[in-house]
Amino acid sequence: MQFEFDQVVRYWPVLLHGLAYTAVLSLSIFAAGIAGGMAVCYARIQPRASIQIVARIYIGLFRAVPEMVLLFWAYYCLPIILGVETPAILTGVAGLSIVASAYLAEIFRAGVGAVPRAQFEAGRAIGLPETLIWRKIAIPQILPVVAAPMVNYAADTVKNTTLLAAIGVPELVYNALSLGSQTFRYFEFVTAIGVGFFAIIFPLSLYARSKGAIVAARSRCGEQAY
Amino acid sequence: MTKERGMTTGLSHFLNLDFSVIVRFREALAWGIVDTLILTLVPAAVGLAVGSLISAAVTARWPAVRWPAVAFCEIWRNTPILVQAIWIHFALPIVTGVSTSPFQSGLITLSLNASAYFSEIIRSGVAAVGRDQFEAAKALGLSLWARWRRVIVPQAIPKILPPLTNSLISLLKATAALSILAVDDLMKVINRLNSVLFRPIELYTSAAAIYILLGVTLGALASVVERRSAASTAR
Repeated sequence: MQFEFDQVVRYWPVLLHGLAYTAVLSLSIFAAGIAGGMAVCYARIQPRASIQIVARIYIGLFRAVPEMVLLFWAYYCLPIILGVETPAILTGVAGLSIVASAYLAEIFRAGVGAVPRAQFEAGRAIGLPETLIWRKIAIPQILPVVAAPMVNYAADTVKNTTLLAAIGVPELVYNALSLGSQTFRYFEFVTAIGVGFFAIIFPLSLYARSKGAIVAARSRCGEQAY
Repeated sequence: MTKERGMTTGLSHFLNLDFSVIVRFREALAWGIVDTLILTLVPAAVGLAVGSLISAAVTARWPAVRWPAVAFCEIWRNTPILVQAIWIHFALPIVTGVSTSPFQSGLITLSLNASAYFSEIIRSGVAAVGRDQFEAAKALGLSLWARWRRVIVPQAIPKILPPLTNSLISLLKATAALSILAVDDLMKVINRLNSVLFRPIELYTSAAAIYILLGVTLGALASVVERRSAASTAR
């Protein structure tokens, strides 16, 4: 058997282009997921049952459906329902952002749960406006709790972007496969992008693990977790 | 007949929906579901067995055993499953000289992936039992087998089962990604039907419903196992 890794060097710009797509897709999906997740989490913790149930269904539904099914659904069905041509990259980002918002909403909810209810009540009792209670009391305590699971989900987001290859978005996997079919050197290209993905995802996992261990150790000692 | 007419009112009528395609192609869909379940349950069983061995290797004293096991886990947990599947499908034949069908490649990929994820769950479950339990069992003069069988495993199982159930459902969701390799799972069957019938709303909505149903069923079965094992430890 003979490896031709010089092919990877030769087609480097194509892979780099795919990597840029993967990076931009991951970042925009994660950012949209944070915004959406905050909104869904806010709805989920409302005392009003009607709002809460909608949020519950949203979270349950988009965490249960395989991402691939959702992407194909959006890709084929949205143009029919909306009656307009929707580019694959837009439907893809929208689909994965919705999934991200469902997962992140649950992560945020766990963070809110780590703040004792009495602190919200105390804040209201001394007449602090609601925004100030969140900004000055709740969020500083929520951030350290959600940091590790959020970074973990960021790693999952990078993994999820590979699914966009199936609907023709020219990200890293898509480009590696098309280079593979042109040169018949699948092994080299797929190995190269595998190493690339590992180099992106592994540091995220390591960070999440060390951050998570600190939070767990502090809460074991009965200390506030931050 | 009246039921069918009821379904073609409102939005259904507007989009011209016809869910009867699901009934008409029920056999193809059933085979897709069978493949999806095989692709979920066989890797889960392999993952349980191999994952246990790897979790033991990860905690082994000898670096020559420990490091390969750690490397295996990290590689399989920190790369996208789609890349893993493509790599197994194209690289394994080059390395071993044996060509695998897409279905076999999918099965191998998911088994290795499950082994890595399950080993971490088993390792942390056993670690959560606590060193003092190992030492107390040893001090009581229990044999190595009795220590594991009677002391460690019964305490580790309740800690392992809930994350294992989550992992199993993730595995089910991951099978859908393998359709890119032309594995004939439910997702691929739906894609094939859609390319002929072009009824995406009916087909993909049904696919979502079927996957949710499968996931809920697996979750319910797992919680039965959880309750049973809780009852048997309580005795």
